[in-house]
Amino acid sequence: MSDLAPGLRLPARTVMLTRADLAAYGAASGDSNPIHADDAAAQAVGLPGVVAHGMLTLGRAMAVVAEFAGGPDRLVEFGARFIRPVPVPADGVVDLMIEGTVTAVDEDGTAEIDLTVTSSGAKVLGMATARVRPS
Amino acid sequence: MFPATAPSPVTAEAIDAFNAAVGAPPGAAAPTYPFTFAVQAWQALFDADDLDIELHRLVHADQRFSIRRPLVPGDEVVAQATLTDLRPAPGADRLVVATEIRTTAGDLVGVATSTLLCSHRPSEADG
Repeated sequence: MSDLAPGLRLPARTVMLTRADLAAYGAASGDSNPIHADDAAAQAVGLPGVVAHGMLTLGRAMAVVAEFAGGPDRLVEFGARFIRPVPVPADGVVDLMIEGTVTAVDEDGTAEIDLTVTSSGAKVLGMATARVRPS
Repeated sequence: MFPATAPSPVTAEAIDAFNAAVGAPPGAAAPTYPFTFAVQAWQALFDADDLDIELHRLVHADQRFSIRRPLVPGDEVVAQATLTDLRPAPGADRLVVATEIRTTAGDLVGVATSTLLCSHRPSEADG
């Protein structure tokens, strides 16, 4: 994290997601909620159809922060609100764009980062932040 | 506070599969990896007689982590959930679940705090 100062922008990352990515995340994370695999199950709880796991979008975003920070063990506090679902069509692909900005740096070098995570141009995570300790 | 989960092992294979799924390189567990253990603690909520919560009626609204120590292969993890808030509402109840994640050696790994929306059961009258 060189040149760490408020206003520093993280390198932006864009990920393309398919239902195969959702299945891989579901298997790796043990999340068997059918709203991530079955359109009828998703619609039964008011969603338009199969949606990405909120934790997949958060996991992707925090992996980007970890890359910036020099490793995942640098993140001490982090999280987000899942403000908008990310529908993933059966035969399609959707984008997930992850951007971040350093908003503060403490005396000991701990950095606060605000993240902007969007899909199809709309924010999908709200209040997405990470507190990162120096090496 | 609900019963803790049985100990669950951390393996390099599981970390690498998780990391691949979130776009992180193999090796050190990606930041949200502890959640895979925290969510196991939710089973106690599903099993509780005085609650009516089921996984397929849950939508995840918010997730925060406070991490003290990374998980590494060889760790045995236990997670214990506490329901810290429950607000009934028309359509879906709002729950806040704080899950403490520890190793069996006694180290605190961190706390995962989840806000969940639980849809009410479909009305019996809907058939």
